[in-house]
Amino acid sequence: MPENIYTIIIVLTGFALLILGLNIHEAAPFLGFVLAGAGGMYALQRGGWLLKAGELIKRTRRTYYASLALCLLAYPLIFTWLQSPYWIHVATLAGVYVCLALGLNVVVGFVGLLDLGYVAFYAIGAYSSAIFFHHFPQARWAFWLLLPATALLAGIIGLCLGSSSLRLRGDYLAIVTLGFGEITRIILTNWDTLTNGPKGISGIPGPVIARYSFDKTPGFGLPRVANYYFLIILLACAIGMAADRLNHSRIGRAWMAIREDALAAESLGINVTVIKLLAFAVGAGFAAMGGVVYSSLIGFVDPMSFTFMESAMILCMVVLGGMGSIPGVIIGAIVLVVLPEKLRDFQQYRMLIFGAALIMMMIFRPQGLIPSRRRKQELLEEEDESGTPAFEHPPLE
Amino acid sequence: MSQAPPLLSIRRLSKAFGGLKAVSQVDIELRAGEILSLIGPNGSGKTTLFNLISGIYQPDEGEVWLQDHRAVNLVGLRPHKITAQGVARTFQNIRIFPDMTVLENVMVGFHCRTQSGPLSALFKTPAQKKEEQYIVTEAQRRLALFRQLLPLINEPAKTLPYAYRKRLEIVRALASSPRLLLLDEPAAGMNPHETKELMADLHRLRESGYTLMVIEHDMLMVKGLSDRVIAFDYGQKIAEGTFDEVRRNERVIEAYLGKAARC
Ligand SMILES: Nc1ncnc2c1ncn2[C@@H]1O[C@H](COP(=O)(O)OP(=O)(O)OP(=O)(O)O)[C@@H](O)[C@H]1O
Ligand SMILES: [Mg+2]
Repeated sequence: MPENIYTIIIVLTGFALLILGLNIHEAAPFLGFVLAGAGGMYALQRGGWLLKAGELIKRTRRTYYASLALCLLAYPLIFTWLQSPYWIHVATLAGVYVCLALGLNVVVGFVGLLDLGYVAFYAIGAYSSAIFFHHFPQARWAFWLLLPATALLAGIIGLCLGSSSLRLRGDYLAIVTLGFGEITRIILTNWDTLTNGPKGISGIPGPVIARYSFDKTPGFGLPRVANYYFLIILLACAIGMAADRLNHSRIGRAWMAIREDALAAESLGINVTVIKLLAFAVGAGFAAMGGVVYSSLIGFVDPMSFTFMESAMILCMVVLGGMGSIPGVIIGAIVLVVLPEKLRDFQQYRMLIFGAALIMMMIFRPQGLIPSRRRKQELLEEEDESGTPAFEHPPLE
Repeated sequence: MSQAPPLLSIRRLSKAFGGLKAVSQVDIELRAGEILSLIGPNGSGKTTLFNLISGIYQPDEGEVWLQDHRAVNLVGLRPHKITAQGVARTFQNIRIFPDMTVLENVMVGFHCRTQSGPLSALFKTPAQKKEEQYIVTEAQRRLALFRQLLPLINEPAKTLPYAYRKRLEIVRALASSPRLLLLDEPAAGMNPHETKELMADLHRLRESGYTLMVIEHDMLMVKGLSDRVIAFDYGQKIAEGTFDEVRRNERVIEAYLGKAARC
């Protein structure tokens, strides 16, 4: 029982610090707060406390998730009470990016394929929904059908892209996917009759469920956006759980095997092409669902929302959080959405500070914020320099 | 000897890299339950032969017939299909999955003998759970073959000492329940004691019904292990017979020691 209480205390402390941080309105004190936080985390890690906390959380899973759920529920209420609903909007946006990062993590983290055009699937989801509602604005319930339908569509497009390009290795695959992302954006810009070109599509309605419309406040003085907040949390949880289950299945083991040594995987009877394609399709499906929610949340889509910069940003979330680690990627997405928002005061220096922060991160914690179990071992081993570090695989003996 | 058709028959198999004939016009027959050793100087084409059988290279010419319920020509099949047909292999430079645990390495080996897809994993269907349980227990059973590995099953594979990694690779290959096992220098880098243990383990494998084709440089091992030995030189089969027959063969002595040895 006391163990459960410790877990609750840990979660509540983290949550309180988050609320506190978000309420520091000036950029410079906020930066100080973040640096102090990073220093504190470092000290905790040095003292071995982070490891202990991790183990404690593992032992008290239920309590941990229950208190997290409570915090997520309290979040919009707190910011309504503080009269800054803007942060509910930011949190919802962060949720969309959590879905995207979880999807890209399947491709980059689990299978080790570099996909630089991932934003295309996000765009496909957002535009499918926008185009549908442009033609059938009354059919607002269809939102719930659009979620799985666009995921399926994006999955199929992912299969097409994959089947033509997965034979390529490493850098070449990255270039082809980069091209795919750009082609998608250019098509969206130029196919005026379907996509309304660079002007984009506006007036995308929110969904309804039974009689309940997402355009109304859910009560308790909460703003309209709180509907989407709860929706995206449910979706992100579902996607996170799906990714975790896949990772710990026969398919997930095959993904990991391919990442570690594709040739050995193939001679163990794994159909490498099919299993890679599956990862592409799953990642594409997750992104499309994120896109559907995004288009209703913002009510407007245009090609400029789906540039290469977005792909790069999502990739940063995955790398920063810790490739292959689901909790890591979630944190990575949240940090990279919140940080630029908070740095708005610095105006033209914003991206500079942001870039510097990323570089520092990669120098001091290359394995990511919460590395996956396996990568952690990999890096620890490199640190003590003993044993047999190099596992080189010549192409063939 | 029985009149059953051989488990594996290789006919006129050839492969050239540019002008280099790495394997040329090789014929080999292998009966079920046999242990066949391949010997030959460095670069004589032994590993290339394995790569041809397991589908990693495509031969320029020739056939590889595997006798299952009916005969199947392995040439042209992709490597994973060949594994599914019942041919598993290990590699000369160990290729285990370094960041996976010992147990996970073996679990991957069951891939082609199990079938849970992504949907059953998403919904954790009873069938999927049962299959996962089956994979774990079976993987542990295979690992028990090399008793030394059992206490290490949750360690990352890269932390194992060299000889243990070699054993792990063999166990992983066994997971696909192969009829024919191709081992590329299993004793390389092992000390005499470990080699002896390995030899006993391989004999036990044969007794439990596997057929083995082993590339080996350690002559004590070849002697103690093989029913039959085939010697290679410059991609060609130069001798075939029992260990003693091959050892006394003039062309073999010449291949190993050079022409001077004959004088
Ligand atoms: N992919 C390749 N491309 C070009 N040449 C190759 C390739 N693979 C093997 N060779 C050449 O084919 C010849 C046979 O090589 P192979 O690896 O089969 O020899 P081996 O009998 O296994 O030798 P060892 O005992 O050293 O393992 C060598 O000359 C080698 O350089
Ligand atoms: Mg060799």
